[in-house]
Amino acid sequence: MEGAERKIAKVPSSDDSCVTFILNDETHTIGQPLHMLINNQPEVEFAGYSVPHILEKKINFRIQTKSQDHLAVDSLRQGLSDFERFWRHADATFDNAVQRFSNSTTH
Amino acid sequence: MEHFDRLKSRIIVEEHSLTNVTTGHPEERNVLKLDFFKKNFKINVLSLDESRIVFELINIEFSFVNALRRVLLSEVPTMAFDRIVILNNTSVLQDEILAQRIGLCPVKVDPDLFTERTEGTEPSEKDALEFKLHIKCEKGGKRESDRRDVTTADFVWVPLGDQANMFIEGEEPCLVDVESPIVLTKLLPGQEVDLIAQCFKSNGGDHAKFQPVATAWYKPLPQIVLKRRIAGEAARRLQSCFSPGVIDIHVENGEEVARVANPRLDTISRNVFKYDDLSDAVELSMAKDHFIFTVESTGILSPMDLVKRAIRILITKAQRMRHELNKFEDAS
Repeated sequence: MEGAERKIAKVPSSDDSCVTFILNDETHTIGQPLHMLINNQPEVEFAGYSVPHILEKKINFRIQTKSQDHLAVDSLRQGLSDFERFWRHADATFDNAVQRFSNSTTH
Repeated sequence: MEHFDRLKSRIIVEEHSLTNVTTGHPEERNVLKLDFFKKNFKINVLSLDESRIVFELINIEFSFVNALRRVLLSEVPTMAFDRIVILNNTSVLQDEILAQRIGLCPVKVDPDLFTERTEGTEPSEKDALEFKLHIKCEKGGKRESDRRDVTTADFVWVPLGDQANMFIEGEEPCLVDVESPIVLTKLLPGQEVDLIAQCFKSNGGDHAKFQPVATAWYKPLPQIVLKRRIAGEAARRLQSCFSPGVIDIHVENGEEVARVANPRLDTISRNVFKYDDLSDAVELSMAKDHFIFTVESTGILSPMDLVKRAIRILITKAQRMRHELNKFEDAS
């Protein structure tokens, strides 16, 4: 196994539908929205995160899915992909909003 | 029906408590569903100038809004003074105090032009910016006007390597004027400050001096509903409970009557509960998915630029993690 500098590590488990991921160099910034998004997925039984120690910048992210057919890692991947898509949409919306504002104030 | 909708999406603010706070079962949270979000998410810019932007976000989950705020504070990088070589300092401020003050001064340059410095390497044109400060206060005078303030305007940029070609004239790196140059120390006749100051790139999470925002904050949209007619002296009293502009008084049949004018300005102070006769007259609540977001820049980047960079960082964060996830799966 590579050293502690890996972005994502996994607490060893024999069951791929109940996994605790260790996200290095991450905080509540990604933890909170990601946990809200993943909990919203219908196949997810449980999703939650915690900061194991406040002096270390990492989070433990646990996902448990409702059946063996759904892998926890797929839920995580879906959550990250949705997070990215939310923000891409927000980016475009922000651009439009600024454009509308400058158009309205120049008249 | 409207009341029920309101209940679902608002936090009711009472004198001693907040109710209806739980966001419900995650599967009911429409704002977390991408399709709903794409159709219903709106942003309206309320005000915009060189140092501040105020915009509202509608139909978004609070944890996303908080993520934006957190990134603005601690992950958008800037350049700031990180290494100061003091050649001479006979001013009344000690070396380290002067150095700390200089560190906190915002440096107006696009951080994207630089990379973060690796420990142990010599600063180069790619990761450092150098300024020189050499001021000597002329000896001899005894008047107030013979003293000299050392300010951020006294810094002189020293291009490293090829940096002179990187900037067009008039847009060279400089220190930010906050209405006027920032005073760093004051010299009496005969005193001198001579130093070389280098800037490196980092973010607010490393040290607050790298923070690109004076601050960034958000609040949920307040709503105020008057449950009954409030007139006369009570109307004036009600108006005084809220921030100016929230409640206005209009004259109806010769009487002064209170009406809600602009609830956005309210700070949800709950002052109205001070008065027993007014406590039952007002229903205060806050939206769960409608926020008013303010970003104040320190002057390094425009407020619009700051929001765009923060959003970019959030997107890249998720992207990188997904890549790592794929690599990690291939390995196991």
